[in-house]
Amino acid sequence: MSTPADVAVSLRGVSKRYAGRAGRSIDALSPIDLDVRAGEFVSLIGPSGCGKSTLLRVVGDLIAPTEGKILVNGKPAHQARLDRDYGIVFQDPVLYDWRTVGRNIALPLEMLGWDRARRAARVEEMLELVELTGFEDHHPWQLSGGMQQRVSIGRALSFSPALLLMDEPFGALDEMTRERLNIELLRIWERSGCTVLFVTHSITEAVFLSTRVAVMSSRPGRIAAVVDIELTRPRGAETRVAPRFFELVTAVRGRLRGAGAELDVRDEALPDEALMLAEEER
Amino acid sequence: MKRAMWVEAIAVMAVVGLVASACSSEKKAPKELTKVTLQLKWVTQAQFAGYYAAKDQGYFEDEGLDVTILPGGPDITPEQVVAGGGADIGINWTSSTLVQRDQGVDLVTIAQVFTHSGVTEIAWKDTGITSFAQMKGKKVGVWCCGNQYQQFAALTKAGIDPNDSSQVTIVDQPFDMSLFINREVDAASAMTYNELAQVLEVTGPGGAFPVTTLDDLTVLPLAAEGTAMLEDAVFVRGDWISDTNNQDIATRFLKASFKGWAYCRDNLQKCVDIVLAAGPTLGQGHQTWQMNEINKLIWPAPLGIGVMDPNLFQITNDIASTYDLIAKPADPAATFRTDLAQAAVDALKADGVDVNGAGYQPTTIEVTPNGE
Amino acid sequence: MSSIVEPVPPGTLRLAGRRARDWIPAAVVLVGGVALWQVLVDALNIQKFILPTPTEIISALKENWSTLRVRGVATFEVALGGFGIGAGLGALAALFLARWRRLGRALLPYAIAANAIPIIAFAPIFNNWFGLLNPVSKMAISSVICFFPVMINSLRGLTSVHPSSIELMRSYAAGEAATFRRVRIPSSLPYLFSGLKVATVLAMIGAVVSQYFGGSRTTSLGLFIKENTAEARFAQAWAAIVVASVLGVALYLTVALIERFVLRWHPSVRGGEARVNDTSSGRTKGGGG
Repeated sequence: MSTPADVAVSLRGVSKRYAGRAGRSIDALSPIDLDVRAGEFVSLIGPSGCGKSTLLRVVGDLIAPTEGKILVNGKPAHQARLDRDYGIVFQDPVLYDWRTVGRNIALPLEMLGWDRARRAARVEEMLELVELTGFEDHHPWQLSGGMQQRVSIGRALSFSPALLLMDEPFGALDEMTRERLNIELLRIWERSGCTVLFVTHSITEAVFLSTRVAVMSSRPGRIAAVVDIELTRPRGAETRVAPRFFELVTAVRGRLRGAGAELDVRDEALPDEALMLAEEER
Repeated sequence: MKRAMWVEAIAVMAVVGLVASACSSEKKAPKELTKVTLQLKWVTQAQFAGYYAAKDQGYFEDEGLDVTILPGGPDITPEQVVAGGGADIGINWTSSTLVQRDQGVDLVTIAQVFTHSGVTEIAWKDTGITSFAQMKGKKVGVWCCGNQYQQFAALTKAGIDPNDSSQVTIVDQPFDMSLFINREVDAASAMTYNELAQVLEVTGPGGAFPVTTLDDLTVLPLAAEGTAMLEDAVFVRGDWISDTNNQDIATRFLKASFKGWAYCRDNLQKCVDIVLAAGPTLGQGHQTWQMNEINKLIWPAPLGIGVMDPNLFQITNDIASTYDLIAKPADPAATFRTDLAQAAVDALKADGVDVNGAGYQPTTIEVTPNGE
Repeated sequence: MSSIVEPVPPGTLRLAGRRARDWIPAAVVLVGGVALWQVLVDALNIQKFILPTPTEIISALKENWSTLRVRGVATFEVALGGFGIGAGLGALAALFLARWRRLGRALLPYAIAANAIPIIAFAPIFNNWFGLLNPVSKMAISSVICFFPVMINSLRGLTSVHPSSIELMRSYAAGEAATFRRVRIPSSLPYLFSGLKVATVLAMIGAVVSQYFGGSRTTSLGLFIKENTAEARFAQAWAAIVVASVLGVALYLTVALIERFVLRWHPSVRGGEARVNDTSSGRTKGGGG
């Protein structure tokens, strides 16, 4: 198992081009350079279609880059995936209805070949971590959206990866649940000590959660700016009303405007299209 | 001006067309022909030669009838077609019509054309089956849908219950003899005039012929079992025939049909040709065999062709009720009438047509390979 | 602790998804419909060979019970065999087509075209191939009819997986086999059962209709119907139709029951249970709850 001290994500000259229909090609990412230090919480924010979700998947070796080098945990991204060095949380919790909450969390552990007792113990731990103790035998559809996402986070961290990739995990939830889960996520992050790469379209969320915010330009995306967020921790409800918070939000917003169009509600079809095309490539 | 010219041209063409069509129908009799539809029991073949001959030789026309002949086939029950109004007149076995009447379908038999039964059950000689009693425990093929009564009665008479699978395996026989030829059944039903010939007509690899002769078969005619019932007859709907106009039509129909049958008795080959021209499935050799066998079932006709013999009817009636084909014995007066057939026969006699065939002698016909 | 509605205790099987009293409207329609049928046929003097009365059908059922029972069971066995073979092959074909997509895309149009051929045209051909008296020749018809709905539904289920789910499995470095086993197959089960339920009624229809083309008499419900309709015994024919329908429904209900067990986790089966709402707010760190 990797320790937080080892983790880094290193992107050098990473670009992604898709062969589009009728011979046209789509430049999803123009060369990206980015370093994420161990233990950091880095958010990726950018206008619709800028490729932030694509970038996240490139880091996870779910999409192959056209050019560039990605190092995760000191290894090429492909190897990192095979070594299961990261956990991933999507906007859709993607929990399996035919498994209970406990068995959903245990899924990666089953695949790693852990024995029953060890799995049970770890599931207990994770439920405690995401504050869902006692819900082990429930089925996912019996839980609210926010609770399902917590299960998803518990599953992602169940095998103690050093890196956590998150693709707009709270995008489908209402504002209040979101804010609550933001605080919970920070708590979980601090307890687990992992590195987080977090894609979002919410400026306030990015600022609230991160140590640094990477602003991406519109398609083809590149890192337009990186903003350090030196708000004190632990952050809570009071952080959201602090003057420094508003200043940082404004700063990020300014960089966004400079980088391209206004933020839209969600990324365009590119991530799905990317997946389809990626499938065909296989 | 141009428009008027067009109208004139069209008017001229219309007049010319009318005159032409009037002239081209010079074959038509001066009076209007009554349209009649006839539903056959089976597909086009010599079994119905009399009706095809009546049409071809103009006998129907002479009687003022324009007859449309509807071939039958598997899944066509003539009684249902007639009862449902799809045809005016139907051909089927009297045993079948009895059962339909017993179920409440209002049909009346107006002429009994065949007086002898053509049903046999055949077995390969090497199975050792020489009687119905020996069919116990064997696989016996029968047809469906009203064509199995005589065989069932024979089995029951021989002490075998056809509905008891522990006593005999009754197999639903398709209307070709492949089941028998492939020996998937031990005995199969065969009409003397049709399926029997099909078996004899089989050719072997490289066109070898004959493959099967009568020496290879045991043929059990149902007539010898005492359970044979009356077969091909002409029937109509009860409510249709109660109308005097229709009675007149029916009599004329029968007169022309009987004349056709007499023609086929006296002109076998020509009649075969008439049937062939109507497009049957099986070929000349088969139709020739069939024509000969059919004649044997009709002639001689002591009472005159088509006139029901009440004694023969009673035998059929008794067998049907004895073997539970009908719930109660049929009432002869309601089931058949002889007056129309009698009138037709009398009219033909007056015209000098031989309606009895007393001097009829069947010929010997050789089967041809594949019935060609 | 937020409020939770206790789930229905396992083992509480509802009959085909509804409580007993939900069946009352359907029962009323049945009884009312049959009564209306009886009255109308008599009142309008409808001929027996067009539509017999329910009482006539019931008495025909009683009279012919022993032969109908024997033939019904034999026909049901044919339907069951055809269902098993056809559905089994259909599910396997779907697995194959889902696993090897390119090959699947190449073959699917032909599968669709083959399905468009009126299957009953094959009945005489199968009789020839397998032997008229061999029940397999009838099972073959049933199985061909069952194949397509099961295949097409299963294929849908196997390929209708959320893309994120596949990405999740890839993040676990899972191969195709593991992805199929853990994700695609379980998530396709509701679709599979949809297809199976469609196939159950088709199986019975296929069995009965295939019997129209010949075979052993004593095991043939189809032949019973054919003979009796040809001989104007319509009450008997209807009685056989009733038997065939009941058997078809029985097969359907059996599959539906199995579905409820296999899919006991599915929201539709556990319907009526409330979702839990996350009312936790400001939980203290490490607090239970």
